[in-house]
Amino acid sequence: MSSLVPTEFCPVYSPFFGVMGATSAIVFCCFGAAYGTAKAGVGLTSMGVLRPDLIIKGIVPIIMAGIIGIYGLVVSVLIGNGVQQQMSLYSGFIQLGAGLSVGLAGMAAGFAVGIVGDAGVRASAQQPRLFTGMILVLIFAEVLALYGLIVALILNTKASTSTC
Amino acid sequence: MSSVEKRTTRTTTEQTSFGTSSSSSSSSSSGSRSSVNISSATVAKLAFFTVAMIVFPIATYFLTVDRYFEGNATYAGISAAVMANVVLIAYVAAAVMEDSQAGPAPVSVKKQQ
Repeated sequence: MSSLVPTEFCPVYSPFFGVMGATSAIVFCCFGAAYGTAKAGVGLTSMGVLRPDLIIKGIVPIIMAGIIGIYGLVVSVLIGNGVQQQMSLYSGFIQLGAGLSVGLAGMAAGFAVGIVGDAGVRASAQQPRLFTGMILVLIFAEVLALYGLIVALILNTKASTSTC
Repeated sequence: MSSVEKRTTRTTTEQTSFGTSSSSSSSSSSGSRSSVNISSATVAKLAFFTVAMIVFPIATYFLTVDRYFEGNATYAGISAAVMANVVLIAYVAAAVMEDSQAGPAPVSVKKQQ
């Protein structure tokens, strides 16, 4: 069994930053997804009292908020697979940056999806032609989380190319 | 003893009031607007999309990371994100198709109210 000797570039505490990156990816994305689900769900239940036939269409903002949580899950799985006992501090910092980028971008996107979903389902019950407009705005809000995911993936590829 | 009797009578009255309120609400809902019974097909569709949204992206990541991308996690992550968006587009398409099958909105309900 090879002994793990901490060096200048691979100190003992470098996995902390990697694990914090994995945690922040899922935690902040879940903050955003929870707010989006809650706010859009409030609008859906208010709208569904008078228009129960539109409930299935009105679940679309909630699905989009759920996908933001999926983005956080994918990035945290990616980062978690790359955390080792002896890894460079460089890799740890990169993983922390990747996790924070998708996490905070997902939180922002979740806020947008929730507010637009709430107003959109309430308004599309009275004006059916607003549904496609709501979908378009929701796509623009969702893409913000996708940008965070892309940055996280690009950063994470650089985390494996380091030596002690 | 009398308090126990009062409690039991209160619970029975609560149960009957629940019964009457639920029956009255169901009768009013069926009387004043179209039937709101959720068919089993709708429930099955919702359950499928819920499970699909959770399972498909992560399964895509783990299936493709070693088999198709030779351990390159970035491409596997991109395919997982693509699969999540595919599930979303499928749900929107299914919802719009179901809505177009159900027909136009019951505007007459609002006018009656």
